[in-house]
Amino acid sequence: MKANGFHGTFRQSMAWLHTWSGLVLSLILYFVFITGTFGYFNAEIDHWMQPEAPGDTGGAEDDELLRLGLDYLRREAPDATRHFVALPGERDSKLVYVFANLQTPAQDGSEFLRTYLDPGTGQPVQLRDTGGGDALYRMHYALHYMPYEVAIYIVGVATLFMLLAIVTGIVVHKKIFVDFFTLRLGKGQRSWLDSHNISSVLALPFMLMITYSGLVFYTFDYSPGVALLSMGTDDATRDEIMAAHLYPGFERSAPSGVAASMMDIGTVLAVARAHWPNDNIRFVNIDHPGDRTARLRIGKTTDSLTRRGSNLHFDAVTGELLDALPPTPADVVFADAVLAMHEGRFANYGLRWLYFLSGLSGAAMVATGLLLWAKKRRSRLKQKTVAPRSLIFIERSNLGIIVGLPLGIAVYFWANRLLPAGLEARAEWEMHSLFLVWALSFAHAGARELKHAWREQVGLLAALFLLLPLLNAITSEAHLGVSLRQGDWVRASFDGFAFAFGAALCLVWRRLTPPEAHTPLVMASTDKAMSRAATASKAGV
Amino acid sequence: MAGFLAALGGMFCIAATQSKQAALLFSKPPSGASRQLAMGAGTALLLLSAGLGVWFHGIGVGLVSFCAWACLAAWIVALILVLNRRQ
Repeated sequence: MKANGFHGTFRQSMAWLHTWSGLVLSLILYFVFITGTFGYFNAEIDHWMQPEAPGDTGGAEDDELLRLGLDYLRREAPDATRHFVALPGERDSKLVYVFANLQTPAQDGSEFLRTYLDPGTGQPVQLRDTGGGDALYRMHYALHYMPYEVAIYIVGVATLFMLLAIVTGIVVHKKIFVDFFTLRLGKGQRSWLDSHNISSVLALPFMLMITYSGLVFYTFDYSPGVALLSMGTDDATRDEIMAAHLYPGFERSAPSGVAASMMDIGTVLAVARAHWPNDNIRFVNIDHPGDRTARLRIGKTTDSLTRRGSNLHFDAVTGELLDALPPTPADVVFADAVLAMHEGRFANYGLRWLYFLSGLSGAAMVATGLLLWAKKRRSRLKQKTVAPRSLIFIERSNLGIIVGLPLGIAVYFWANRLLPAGLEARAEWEMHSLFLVWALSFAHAGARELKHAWREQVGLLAALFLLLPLLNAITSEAHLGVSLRQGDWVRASFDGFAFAFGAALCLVWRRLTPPEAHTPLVMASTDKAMSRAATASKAGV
Repeated sequence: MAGFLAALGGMFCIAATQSKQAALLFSKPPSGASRQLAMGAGTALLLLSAGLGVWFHGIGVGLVSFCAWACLAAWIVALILVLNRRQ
């Protein structure tokens, strides 16, 4: 097809679109991929970042833990409109989470009671103030230092560009099947192109799924017209219609004002276990506790794409099992399944690691795309030609983006252990340290000669991860020796992963151009490889 | 695990059907008939992997698992080819 379009032929136009849609918002895309990928282990990171939290429940059974949580709420929030107790999951710290909606605000003005209880004592645990893994996870859609409403639109636009880049990338990749397994290292620009292709093509189902489902998350924010036209402009009415559609048959009963004693939790748990002989109970929720109309809901852990059938409803006074709710509409099931796929909610550890690796593959796709773009422009320069400022700016920014963010995250973990426990707004300071180091990384990349800057930043990143288990051992009592002895595999794995990642980075550091060589980027290239690469660049990728 | 191993076998067979990759895997390039056989075996193994995923985890999680296994398997094959290329 030779019909001329906006930028030559159809494929050339798509190549142009692929390059620019990927490049323009690459900083945000890389940020979203890296922080979102850490989000697949948010609970594990939380556990490591709170070394005070116990790694086991001391042998307490689920029934005891639920009783312990409900007793605490009855004692501390007797007139609450809702009591909620969640059991520790396989991935969490072994603490009982309790939550209550207060009828009258507490002394500090809070309308909620929310704390973690020690499974042994039943008392609230004093945990250090930390953002944990959840803060990293939250940043991948809510960013930081800006209003939530603004952030989700920025991320939405970036996601849309990403989808565009993926689709156009498939169009321009002529040899997608022939080059399916092809990765040629040490060949300059060709190597970056291979790395970019392989990191995108091999995880293509993940890339398409994660981008599309990311947009589904905020359907009504990104397409508000749909909701406004179909459900009206009044917020309250719209919320009511949405709630009835999302949770059919789940109308909350009004309190009668007549006091009644609650059925023993053990009785309803026995009924729930008879329904779910192979599953674990996850939480208990009571609406209007202590009232004659109180309703009790029990939820189980689920390893399927949808959460349908994962709750049972009881009359909390008589213990009678209430009728199952009407079936959820198909569109809600679809959205729930798509969102579950995005978050990997159902994933066991094996699959969770594959999610993690696919996420890293996405980050590698963005990073190699950035490096390829700069390398290609550099190779087009004639010898002894001064590089344009824009190219120099991009080359230096690439380092700040690609290595700077992981450096910031490594320092975030260090700050968790080094900041004083009583520091005010401690969690916020952990986050400040991340962004401060990230900004310093850009400054360093701008000030130093690029080849030195790469070596120094990668070297520092390797050292920070490699020494993280040591720092943990010096500053906490939840170090590798203790966690291994106690069988706390979550914490032990975090330390092990940090060490292994640091060791892998040491290998990368060694492979980086030595200071005496004079090539600007990571992989050394020969004249022959450059000439091949120049030919390849004519393909327009 | 069986699902992942089937995907790995499938990806190896698929790699053997491609001339550039086959040259790295075998001392002598496979004949046309062998390539067709590898393509059939590779497809069958990948289908088996998807089937095992669905059998053990249900349709939704099963297909997600299959995609993840296939991705990891393809990475492993690609890295083995990188090592062979260097030797």
